[in-house]
This record gives sequence, structure tokens and C-alpha cells, in this order.
Amino acid sequence: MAPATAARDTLLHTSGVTVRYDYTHEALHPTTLAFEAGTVTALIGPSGCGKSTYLRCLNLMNREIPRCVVEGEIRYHGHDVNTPDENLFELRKSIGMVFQQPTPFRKSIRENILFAPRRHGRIKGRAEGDELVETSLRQAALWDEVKDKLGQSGLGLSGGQQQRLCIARTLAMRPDVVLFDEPCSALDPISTYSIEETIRSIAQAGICCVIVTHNMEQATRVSDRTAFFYVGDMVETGATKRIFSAPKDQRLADYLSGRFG
Amino acid sequence: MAQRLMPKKQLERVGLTLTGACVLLVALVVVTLILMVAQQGLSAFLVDGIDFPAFISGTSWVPSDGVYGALPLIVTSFGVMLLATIFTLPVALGSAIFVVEVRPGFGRRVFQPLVELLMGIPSVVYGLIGLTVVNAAMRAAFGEAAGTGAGILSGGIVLAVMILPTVTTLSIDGLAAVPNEYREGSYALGCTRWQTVWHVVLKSAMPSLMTAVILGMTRAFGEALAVQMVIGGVEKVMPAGLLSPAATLTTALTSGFSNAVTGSVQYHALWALGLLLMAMSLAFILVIHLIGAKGAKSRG
Amino acid sequence: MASETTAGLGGNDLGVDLGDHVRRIGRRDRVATGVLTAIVAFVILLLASIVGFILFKGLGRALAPGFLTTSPLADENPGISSEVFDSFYMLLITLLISVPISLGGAIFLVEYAPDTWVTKAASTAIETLSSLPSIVVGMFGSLFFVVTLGWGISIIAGAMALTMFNIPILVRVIQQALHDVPRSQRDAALAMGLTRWETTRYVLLPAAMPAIVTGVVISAGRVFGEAAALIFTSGSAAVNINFASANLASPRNPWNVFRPAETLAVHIWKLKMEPTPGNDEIVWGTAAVLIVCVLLFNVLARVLGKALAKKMTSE
Repeated sequence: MAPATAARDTLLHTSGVTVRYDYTHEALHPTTLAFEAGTVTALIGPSGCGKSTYLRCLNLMNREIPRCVVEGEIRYHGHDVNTPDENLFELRKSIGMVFQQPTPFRKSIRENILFAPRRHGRIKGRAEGDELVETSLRQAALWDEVKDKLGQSGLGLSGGQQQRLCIARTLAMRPDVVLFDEPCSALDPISTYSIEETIRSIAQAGICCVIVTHNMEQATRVSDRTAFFYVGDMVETGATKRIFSAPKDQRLADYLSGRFG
Repeated sequence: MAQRLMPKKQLERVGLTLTGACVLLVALVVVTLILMVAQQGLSAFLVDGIDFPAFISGTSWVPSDGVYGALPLIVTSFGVMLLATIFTLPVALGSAIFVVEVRPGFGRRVFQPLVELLMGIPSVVYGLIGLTVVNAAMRAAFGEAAGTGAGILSGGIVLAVMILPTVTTLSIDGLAAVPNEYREGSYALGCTRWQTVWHVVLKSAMPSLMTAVILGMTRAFGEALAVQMVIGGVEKVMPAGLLSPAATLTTALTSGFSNAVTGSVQYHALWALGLLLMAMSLAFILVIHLIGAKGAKSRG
Repeated sequence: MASETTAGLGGNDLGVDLGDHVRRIGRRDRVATGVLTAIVAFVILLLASIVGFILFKGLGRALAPGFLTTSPLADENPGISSEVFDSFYMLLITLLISVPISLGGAIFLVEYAPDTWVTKAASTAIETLSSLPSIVVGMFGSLFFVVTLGWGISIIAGAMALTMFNIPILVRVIQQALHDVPRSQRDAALAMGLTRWETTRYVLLPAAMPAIVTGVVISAGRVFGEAAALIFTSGSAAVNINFASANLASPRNPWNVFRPAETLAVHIWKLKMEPTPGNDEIVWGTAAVLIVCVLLFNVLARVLGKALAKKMTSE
């Protein structure tokens, strides 16, 4: 990995990033944002505003969508990754992603966690595997609930547990950035609470978290900084407290007062 | 094992190449097939000098005497195909409506597996039953006029049973794909089930029902052995009626191809029949695509 | 039902006897339902009588001692041992060739190149292959595999013809099975830096396996009964297999793929087209064996698919 000399704390920095679907329709207008280690950034805005589209640029997941073009600069550790010969697979090892729907594989809980590290050649023996399973599950606050049934299917867990398993699975890759795409929208309030706790503790461990959410309370609870998107534009960004207490842009003020969205 | 993993970029290229090669291989085989059939078939006209208009309008097919008039075969092929379609259509459509609209649970659990089973019965078995049962029934029903019982009508009946599962299954899929809101809308207006089916469901499923019928026709047109066993195999004259024994393009090939010497005029003439068959199935595919495109257009 | 409540609407200002109208459409509805029920009953009866008739005519001979184990060329009480062996052997070879190719093709079409001109062209090619009459495939096989490649009338030529017949069915089944795996599974694996190859191999294929296995076994049933594509490629003459033969090049060695062969389906056709006295019983016996095999394939497909699906969700 390139040494982090360009900026000491800024892990990810995008400038002028645009996304076009079907080669023509610009779903995201030029967006410039920076994300720092150990912080949680929330991306908020009404549905279809481009926040998820933007999030999927950060680990180049948009490349998996046919006829989708991402332009602009995406600097990770100071190095532009939005180039044709960037090694996507290396990049995604250190930028993890958690999705809207919990997506455990049809494998045991243990295998769910070890699958990707093993495919990346990181597990050297059973002991190392066991250790990785335990630390990852502990980080995702799931260890105590599943430690006696690691051999059972990940699909047998409750929705909230499944989502925490997905977080644990992502953490097992030892990423320094984790992207969350509305991770709680399919969950009940109690599960939501525990996921938010998990996100906070991950950030405290020094990981850079970016979370897309349509839930403004969630943004205030969990994030340090917030960026507001509206119809493909990144309208305003700043410290979360400031964004919610003193919005500068009229569209953000309208959104916060519930006039649309 | 941990150290031996292939770099990801290389692994992705390997995967792409490997699977791409499979697709390429299949495509290559199809292209080769089309070219070879065309080449062999056309050489009957281009090399051996058989006159194409005479070939498709000639009313007698006696390859051993060098008489190549394919019209009786073409007429019979279309005849049995149309008969089969006419016999099958009401039964297939009726059972599809029953399964989708009247008793969906029974349809999924019992009827569809049974129809799939019917689809799995080998064509020679249909031919065997046709030869035994259908031909005997023809003799019983029409007496002297039916001769041995072998003829176009018998062929049509056997083919009708054979394409029934294809048409039924595809019709079921077509009807099931009609959104439930359409039905609920119709019921909400106070329509009976029959009115709903007739005026709403069938109308909006029309493109897929037509596709189902055409795929059934494709199968009927190309079926060889079952038809050969029941149709009588008379190639040298035009069929006089539904009861007269006749031969189709496929049955003429089945009975003649083994005896033809590779490269002879007779061999090429038989390939010309194969070319006709292939052209027909390509035409059927084209029609299905046109229906699909039109359906997509009308849905916006 | 509805007619009683609306019967009082008899005289309205539309000048239509609504009550009568309701009774009429209600009656039409009941008649239509009755006709539909009769049609379905007819189809079920048809299937039952086809299967029943074959078993009735042939089961006696099929179960006769030695029928399955005697050579078709035996002087007394000929059996169908060669045909049974050849049918399964040819099916095995066909599946060994067609399953990997179809898997690769379907994976390419669904995972690597969704929605491009390559996909469209390839899909059209596969569709064309599926609509071609099997007799044309057989003719092509006899020219290309038998003559051009010089394999002669042989098991391998027959298996290749059957492969061409089987690939479109399999590709479609596998494509559908892969499509049915939720998109999120794909994304989750790709987002962890895994290749499409690994995603497919370790996540999608296991999830799609029950549907794929069911499809493969059902297609095996079709292949098992196919005859038209074989007559010109693997031959239609009974073979006297010597199961004790150790010489792989011998035309009587069971495992020699370059020897001619005759399957059960071809055997039925052959005997029926060239009838000789006493053949009839053999024909029906063979048909009974064939239909029992096809039924077993169908049952096996369902049982295997269900068992696999159950195993996967429970582990």
C-alpha cells in the first residue's frame, strides 16, 4: 500500500467525481469530499439524490454496473485509484462495504468470516483462523451470541445478527475504510441501535467509516461529519452538529424541516 | 495453500478466457453447422444442377430414380404441423387457464410436474403408441378409407400429444406473468372469473401465448421418428387427403439419408431438404423475436 | 351467489334485465370452469394411459429373467443388454462434455458479459441450436464428426450430437439458476476484493446448485430418449458387446468410444421399422425399460434438488 504521506489523516479524497449511467445520464455531478481516519461521515439526502451512487464510487463498485462511467479523481492514501489499471481487488481488500440487506453467504458463520481472507491467502493455519473469527466477531459485538454455534449457517441468524455478521466479515479483511450503504434500513430499532454502537466503536479503533442513511436521527447519533446530497449534487458538508443546527443552504434547511424527502 | 494463490487480476483473466472459450465454442459449432448445411444443401442446385423452382414445386419425390420434387413433403410437413397445432391449442390453453386462474396450488404441485413428465417421454415411445393405438383407431373410425391407418391425420394426432407439454408449459408461464393487479381490477368491477380471463388475462398474455404456439409448431415441424412411424412414408405422390399415407421433410430424411452415398446427387438433394428444415426453424425464431419486439414496444 | 342479491334490480332505466344478465354471465362462468376442468382431467388421463399402456404391454417382458442381461444378438430370447449399457454410457459421455461447456457458457453470459452484443449474439446462437430439428443435428453430426473428423459411426460422434442437443437446454437452466441468486450475494463477494471467478465458484454456484442439479438430471432424461440425432452418428445396428474384452480398440469392447452403438430409443425405432416375427414383445419390453428410466430421472431430479436445497439451508 502507498505510504500515507500526502495527508496524515485523510484516507480518501475525491475531487470532481461524476457518475454517468448508460454513458449519458449524469446521476452524480462533480463531488469533492474528504474522509479522515477514525471518523464517521454520514451521507444524507432524499431518495435518488446520488448518495449511494457516490458511496459506490469509493470502492469502485460502480465498475460492476454495465454502462456506468465514473470520472474524476478518487485519491486513496494520496494515490488516484480511478484509473483503468488500478487493481480493484487490492483496493477492495482495504476498503470494505456493508450493504442495505444483510447478505450472509450460504455458509457457516465461521466460513462466512474466513471465506474472503482465505481467498486472499491470508490464513496460514487453523489457529490463525480461529483467532481472526473471534476478534472480528468481538469487534462486531456478535461473539457472545454466536460463539457456540460457529459451525451453523449464517442464514439461521436474526436480521440484526446477520448484518453484524456482515460487518464482522468485512472487518476480518482488516480494512482501513468501511462503507455502509443504509445498513439499518431493513432492521428493527433494537438491532439498529446495536449496529450504530458497532459503527462508533469501529471508528474509535481508527477506521474511517462512511455511512449512507436516510434516517437523520441516525446521522446525528453516529456521525462526526455529514454531507448532504440533493438531485445529484453534494450541496453542503461540515461537522454534523453544525449541519443540523445551522444549515447554510436553503435546500438542506428545507430537507431538515421535513419539507421533502 | 495460502501462498500458492494466483494473483487476482490473472485469475480474473483466466476465468474470462475459460468461460468465454465455452461460449465461443458453442457459437462456432452453430456457425459451422449452418454453413455446412447450407453448403451441402445448396450444392444440390449449384453443383448438381437441380432446378430450384422445379425442386420445390415438383410433385414426386423418388430419389433413387433421380426425381426430386419436394412439394409433397413440404405440404405434408405443414399439414401435420397445422393439424397438431389445431388439436393441441384448445387443450393446452384450457389447462393453462385452469392451472393459473382456477387452481394454482394444484397446478404447481400436481399438474406442472405431470406435464413435465409428459415432455420427457421419448419421441419413439410416442411413435410406438401412435403406430399401435392411433393407427388402429383410424382403421376403426374410417374403415376402408383409412387403409392401414397410417397417414397425415395420425401424424397430426401423435404430434399434437408431443407438443402439448411444450405449449402448455409456456402458456402457463405466459398467463402467470400477467400482473395480479389486472385481475383484481377486473374483479373489482364485478366481472366473473371467465370474463376476467377472456377479456383481460388472455389479451395481455397474447404475445407470450403466440410464442408458446410457435415454439410448439417449431417442434412439430422438426420432429422425425414419431411421425415416420405413423405416417406411412409415401413420398412419390401428393397426399390426396388427411387419411392418405404421406411423408414429411423429416421422414424423407430419416428413411433416405442412411442409404445415400456421400457426395452423390441424392445425398445433396437430401441436404437440400435439411436446408429447408433449418430455414424454417430460423424463420420461426425470427417470428418469435418479432413478436417479442412488438410486445416490448406496446408495453412501452 | 351474486344473482340473488342483484335479482331485484330487474327493471332499471337502462332497459336491460340486469338480473337476467347476471344469471347469464354466472352460468357462462360455471360452464367455462366445467370445460376447463374436463380438459385438465383429459390431459392427466392421457398421461396416465400412455404410461400405463406401455407398462401394461411391456413390463412383463421387461421383467422376464435375462431380458436386461442378454445380448440383442442372442439366438434364443434376445435381450437388450447392449442397449441398456450403450444408453447409459452415451449419456455419461454426453454429460461429461455438455455440462462443463454449458456451465462455462452460462457463467460467461450471466456474470462476465451481461447485456453486451456478445451476449446477444451468443444467446441467438444458442436459441438457434435449440430450435434446430434433431434430425438436422444428426445429419450435421454424420457429416462433421463421422466423416470430416473421421471418427466413423461411433459412440463419441453420437455423444457429440447429443451434446449439441443438450447444450441449449442446460445453458438456459444454469443461466436461470444464476439469475435467481440475489444480486446482493454477488455484490458482497465482489466488494471483498474477490474476482468474478471466485464469486461464481464459491458463492453463486453453491447457491444455484439445487436448481442446476435438477436441470441437469431432467435434461439427462431427454438425452436418454433422443434417437433421431443418433441414427446417423452412432448407428442403428445392435452391437454384440463383449463385457470381458480387455482390448480397448476392439469394436466389441464396451468402453471403446470409437465403436458403433445402439441406444434403447434407437432400438425401438429400428425393430419397429423393420419388423420381424417375435420382435413386438421385445419392442414393448424395451419401451417399458425406457419409460421407467425416464420416470426415474424425473423423480431423481426432484428428490436431489429438494435434498440439496434442504441441506444448504440447514447447515
